[in-house]
Amino acid sequence: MTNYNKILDECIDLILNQNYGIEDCLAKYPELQNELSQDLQLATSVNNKLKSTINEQTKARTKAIVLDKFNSIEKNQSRTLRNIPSIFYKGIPPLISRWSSIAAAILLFSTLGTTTLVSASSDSNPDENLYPVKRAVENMRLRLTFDAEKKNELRLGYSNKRIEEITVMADKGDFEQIDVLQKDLEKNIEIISNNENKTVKEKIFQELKEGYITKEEAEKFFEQEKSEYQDTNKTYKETDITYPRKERIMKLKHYIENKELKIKELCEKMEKFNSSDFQEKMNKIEKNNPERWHKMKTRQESLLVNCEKHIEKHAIYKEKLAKLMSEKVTTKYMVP
Amino acid sequence: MTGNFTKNDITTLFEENYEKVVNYIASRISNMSEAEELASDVFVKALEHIDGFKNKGIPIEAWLYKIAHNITIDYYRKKKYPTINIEDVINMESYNSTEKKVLENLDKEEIKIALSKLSSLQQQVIQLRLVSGLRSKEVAQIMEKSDGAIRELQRSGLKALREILYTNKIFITEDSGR
Repeated sequence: MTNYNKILDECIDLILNQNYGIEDCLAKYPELQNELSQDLQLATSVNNKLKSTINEQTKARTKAIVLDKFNSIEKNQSRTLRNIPSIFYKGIPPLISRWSSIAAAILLFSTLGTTTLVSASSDSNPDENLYPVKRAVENMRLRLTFDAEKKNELRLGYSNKRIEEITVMADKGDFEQIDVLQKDLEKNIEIISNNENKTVKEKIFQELKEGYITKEEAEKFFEQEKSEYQDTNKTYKETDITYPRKERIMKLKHYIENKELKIKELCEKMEKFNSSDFQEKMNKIEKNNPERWHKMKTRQESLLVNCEKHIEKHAIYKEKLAKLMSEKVTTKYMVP
Repeated sequence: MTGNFTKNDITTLFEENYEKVVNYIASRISNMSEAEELASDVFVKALEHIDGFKNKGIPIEAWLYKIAHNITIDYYRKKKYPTINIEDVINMESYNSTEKKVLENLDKEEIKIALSKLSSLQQQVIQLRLVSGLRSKEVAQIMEKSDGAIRELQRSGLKALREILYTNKIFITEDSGR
């Protein structure tokens, strides 16, 4: 058993990390073919099904949080090392924080020389790679602005940007992003609410009122849109719109991903069946063991049928998703 | 320097492990965005306690997964979020009566449910090894066990998982059994 465990472990490594196929491992250990085949199929199945695709934008944000945390810990440590009695440095932290921001800004602009990068990022949306740069620049500007009124104007500008982004995300049906943006926006509103200058406060709220939409409202509009389709378009009523658009997009993406895995799993095997080596092997089996040949042939045929079905479904799902994504719903959200 | 780590070390640690940590957590809970959120907590917590990590005699990656493991356990303990119910999944997915092979699309959640029925050690080995893609040696360091024990847990875990999936007639593979 110990030996089998080692072989199984080695094969899992080869398959997961070195692009070996199950067949390659079985060929290496033909005496363990039966047991190994079952374990390796299950192992690759677990790997394929449970390994998820990472959201690059979330990763970038998390990375920024982690590095920010690292900086603040380092800062605290160096402060402690100086061993200054607290009474003397009570007022220093905000200054340190501010100067470090300035240093970071100078570093960012000088090392990257990235006016192009920064301006390119200014129109980016949350599902784009440059978006974290846009947010970093915004944060930097906020930190470098010392005048309270100017700071609030900046906040207002950024709030409007969030609203625009929410609209774009709503258009794409990406409710997860709406949720994140909504939280950011609400944080901004909270800060603005604490503003002592009434004129600034009112101006800001007036502007916010004109464009702000919550996730719940967006979902409500999707519902309305659904019923509108049901009244006007019979084809939609019968086939596609059986539940809200958001769910539908999510499920279609899930089905497409699932079919892609199936196609990879089954149809690639079909290629092997068509190879001359395999045909030769089959001819030999046909002569020596007709019963086995018959079983193998039946299995091969059912695999082909399955493979074709998956390809067909995959195409249908992709078409449905494309249709759904191409629908414009933005204007409906912007009803004042 | 924080502990003995430079900013570059932390960046490398993050880049090399973020995806694996997210996958490890995602295999234990049902929601990907929550898994990403918890993964963020893992790295932040690691940084907060990085001084305590020194001289523990294990690689920092191993320590990271220990934190991920504990954070996932806390997640369930607090019951902050509901766990997934397979019947809900079926109801949610079976929106289209013409879709006959609904089960086919449920493999992911069903594997997760089957996994949750294994012993906690088997679960951890399968998740670290097959989902995060770590090597047995690394898993052994994280779980503080010998390489041999990990390989045995891997084999027995796969066997138990197969039995659960077959018993529930979930493991529908057109190409199973050569």
